[in-house]
Amino acid sequence: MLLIGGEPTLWAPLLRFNEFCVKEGLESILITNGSSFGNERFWERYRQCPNTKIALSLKASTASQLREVAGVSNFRLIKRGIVRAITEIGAQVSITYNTFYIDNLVDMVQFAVDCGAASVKIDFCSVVFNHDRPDSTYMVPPDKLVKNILRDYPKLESLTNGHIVFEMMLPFCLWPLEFIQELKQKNQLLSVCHLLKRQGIIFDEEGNLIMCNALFDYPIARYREDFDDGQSLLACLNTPKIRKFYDRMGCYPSVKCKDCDWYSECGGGCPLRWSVYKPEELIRPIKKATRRKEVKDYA
Amino acid sequence: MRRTRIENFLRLLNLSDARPEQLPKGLQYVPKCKICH
Repeated sequence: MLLIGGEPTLWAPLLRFNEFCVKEGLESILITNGSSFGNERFWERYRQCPNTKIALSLKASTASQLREVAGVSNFRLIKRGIVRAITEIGAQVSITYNTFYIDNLVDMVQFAVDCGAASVKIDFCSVVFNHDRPDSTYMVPPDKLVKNILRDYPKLESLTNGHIVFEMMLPFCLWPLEFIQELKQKNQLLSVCHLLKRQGIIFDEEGNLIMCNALFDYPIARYREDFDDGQSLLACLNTPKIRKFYDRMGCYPSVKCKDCDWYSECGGGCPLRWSVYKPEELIRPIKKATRRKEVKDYA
Repeated sequence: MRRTRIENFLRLLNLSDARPEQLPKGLQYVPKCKICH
């Protein structure tokens, strides 16, 4: 089970929930910005009943950047929390690459390493939806994202001693093939979200079912109306209505993906991006012949 | 019949109408041994 926010350490029942998980033998992963861990009282209480794993989502590498990104000025507190979580409970670190980090991703990773991180995961900010309209304000356009990551990759790899992982939310075909090959070979690539793999479900804070944590305003089934226990949840998930939603999200972005050898590993990237971009303008299928040629060129 | 909010949302996505026969599998991160690497 993954606990994600907002900021789940602000969820009042967190510690009771963790106790319940331990009692039931359930694993839980907390995704947090680390700020609560900087608070002595919370930290002492949390250490008594922590989650199985912690994933820290870094927001800033300096006090001024934190003010710009989150509008808060408690950088020292957050840094203390981050260092504690990494060094005392072995928390993992991730950074969501967005418009704030266009030219300072290297500084962010350096900060993570300085705080004790043994590895860093980078994922890419996607679209959010405000009042039923896609909002890509913080999403780096794909061409710029590819260019910048290719520029920064050698430094990122060197800083982390190769322990850098990209959660690929863009189609593979938007990158140079040799770069994808290199990431795969080095075990630095994660891809395809739980939604497309249908390997997970998400509940909001009221117990309603949502398909993706970015779709918090779009519940597909409501607790106590559509399901109220495990059996009725399974039945609900298998109704034609719910299956239709998942089927629609899982359609190929472009029909060109049908012919692509990499579709199974790529999945076409985050489907939410296709509310802003047109797949037909970006996607190019990768076929065995192309792959062989490009890899040969790279070699 | 009136469309629900999620149905309206799905109409915003510029996806094709073709559905893969098999779900994509994706790539998993395999943790490396800290001593060897």
